[in-house]
Amino acid sequence: MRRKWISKIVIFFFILQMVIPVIGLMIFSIDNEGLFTLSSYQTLFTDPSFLSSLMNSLGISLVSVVLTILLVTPPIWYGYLYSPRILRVLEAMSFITFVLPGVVLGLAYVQFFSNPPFALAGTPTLLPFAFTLFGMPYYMQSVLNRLRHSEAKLYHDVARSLGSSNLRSLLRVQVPLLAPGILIGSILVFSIGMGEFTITQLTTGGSFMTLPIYLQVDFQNNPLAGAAMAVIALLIAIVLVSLTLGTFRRRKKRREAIHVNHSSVEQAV
Amino acid sequence: MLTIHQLNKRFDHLQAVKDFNLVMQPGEFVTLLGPSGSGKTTVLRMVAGLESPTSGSIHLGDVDVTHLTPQKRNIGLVFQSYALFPNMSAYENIAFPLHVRKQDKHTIQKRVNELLALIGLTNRKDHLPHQLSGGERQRVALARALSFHPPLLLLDEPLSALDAKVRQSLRITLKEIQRTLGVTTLMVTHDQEEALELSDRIVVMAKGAVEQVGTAMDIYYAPQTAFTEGFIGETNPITAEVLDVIASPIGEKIYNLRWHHHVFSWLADRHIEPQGTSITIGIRPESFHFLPVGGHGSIEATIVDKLFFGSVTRFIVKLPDHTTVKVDAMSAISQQYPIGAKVGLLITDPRLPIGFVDEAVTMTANPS
Repeated sequence: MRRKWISKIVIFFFILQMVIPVIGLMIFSIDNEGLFTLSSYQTLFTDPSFLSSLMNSLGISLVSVVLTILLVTPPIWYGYLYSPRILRVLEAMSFITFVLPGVVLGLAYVQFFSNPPFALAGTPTLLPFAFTLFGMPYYMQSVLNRLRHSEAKLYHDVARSLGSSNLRSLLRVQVPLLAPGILIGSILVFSIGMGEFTITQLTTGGSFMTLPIYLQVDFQNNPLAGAAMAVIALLIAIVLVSLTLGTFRRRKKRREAIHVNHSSVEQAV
Repeated sequence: MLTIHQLNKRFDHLQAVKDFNLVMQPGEFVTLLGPSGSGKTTVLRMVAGLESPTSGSIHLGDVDVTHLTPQKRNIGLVFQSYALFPNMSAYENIAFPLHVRKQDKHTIQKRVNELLALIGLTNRKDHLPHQLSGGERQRVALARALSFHPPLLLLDEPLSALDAKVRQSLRITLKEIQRTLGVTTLMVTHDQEEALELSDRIVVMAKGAVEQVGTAMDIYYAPQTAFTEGFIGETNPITAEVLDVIASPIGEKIYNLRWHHHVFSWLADRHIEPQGTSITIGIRPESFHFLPVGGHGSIEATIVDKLFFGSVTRFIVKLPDHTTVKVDAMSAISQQYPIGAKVGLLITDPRLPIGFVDEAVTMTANPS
């Protein structure tokens, strides 16, 4: 009983220390010398460059997610099922990106992609690749985790023994099986995309406005609007997380609904 | 139907399967029986195409499938852990191989409903695997493996993940379905009871090699190697004196043997030859019978211990020369034989026809 109270108090303080700065930021964003105001939000939403940077960030992050799913999932899957050696190499590589500072990669990109035929510096083309690279270790671990706990190889063997092509097995059996891992990994990659600053600044030289770049510029010019913007960024994150969690819950409910309907039909009969 | 010739499989330093040969007739139910590590599952996986052999060949009918991918073999496979696709309902699982084969909607519906009726799960077709019990899942897995009319069905320890009661009833279901459909079946198991009950023939395996192939009766009463004898059931090795050799009504050799003054008949096994005038054979505990002391040519023995196994009770019985043998009798009669009681002991060969036994014994006991 006493232990329960202690753990409750600990959790309370833990949440408090996380929430206080956010609440402070929120209050700051709606405070006009003691009076309530939404003017900083108004300024933000009427600023076309805010909207375009928001769109840019969302777009780049989504492209990064798609790129990660397409580029990283198949080799992990193949490595896990058939070639432990490939998997070891992939894991080692992903740990390199763990410790690789963004500045280094950014400078390397600038150096390598400044001249033709790859004159890509100054454009956002490289960003999804960079975010994929940085998101890879997180994405990999969440997919691998799922692979290890879902007997993927067994289900692939089953599908093949039933006559299914490898592609059909991948799409109809493996992807649904790995979906939770892919989804969690995608959220992580997405959030990296939404928050990345260094490489974006270095490779685009400020010519491509993303949310973090906008935030940094805006906060220097107008701290109030910056605070409002930070609150919005937080809201976006909360909405995204609840959306994904909601999707899972709905799917589960739908399955259960089928079950319940069925039982009631049986009873009626 | 299925012909496996000189099949070998090496994993790095391990010879998993050694010179495996098997010819299966259409409709036959064959079981690969052995302890874990005996290579039985590897053979099954090679037949399914999930493992490629180091050497040897596998023919399905006239087709050499040795190097075909599993997709092209058209073989039904049921896994130990059911392995139903967790994102699909029972119905969708059974329909999966039919969708793969691009059959039309109506045909699929008809076939799946037919199979659901066969396994008695029509009213649970929309349930996801996790909403089904272990026995139901395994029935769905069986229906899924049969849905595309495979000429050969492979079962990999199909019942071992189930509890005893369900296992027993599913064994009967399995045998019924196999008989109804007449599908040639190759099963892998480490459970000797399962193998003895279900199979037309059993292949006993150890350390990657075949120890013995035969019917359940063959394997049980005439084990050809020490391994088979030790692996399946219990035996009492005894050395008896050979009195003479006669022919059975169906032309097999029968020995008339004497052991502790008890004369009995024993069907000869090709591989056990008498050494001079004596022969060593393995007697199953239930091949001994109790009589009252001094009854009809029996050995006088003393019961020294009793172990209650449920329907059967095992007696440890001391012979005149102070050696002991294990004797199984139905528990219903065990009250008549307390520890310390003296009994008369007989041996009968359960493979010999009733009546023939007495005749042979009488004939040998009173040579004219």
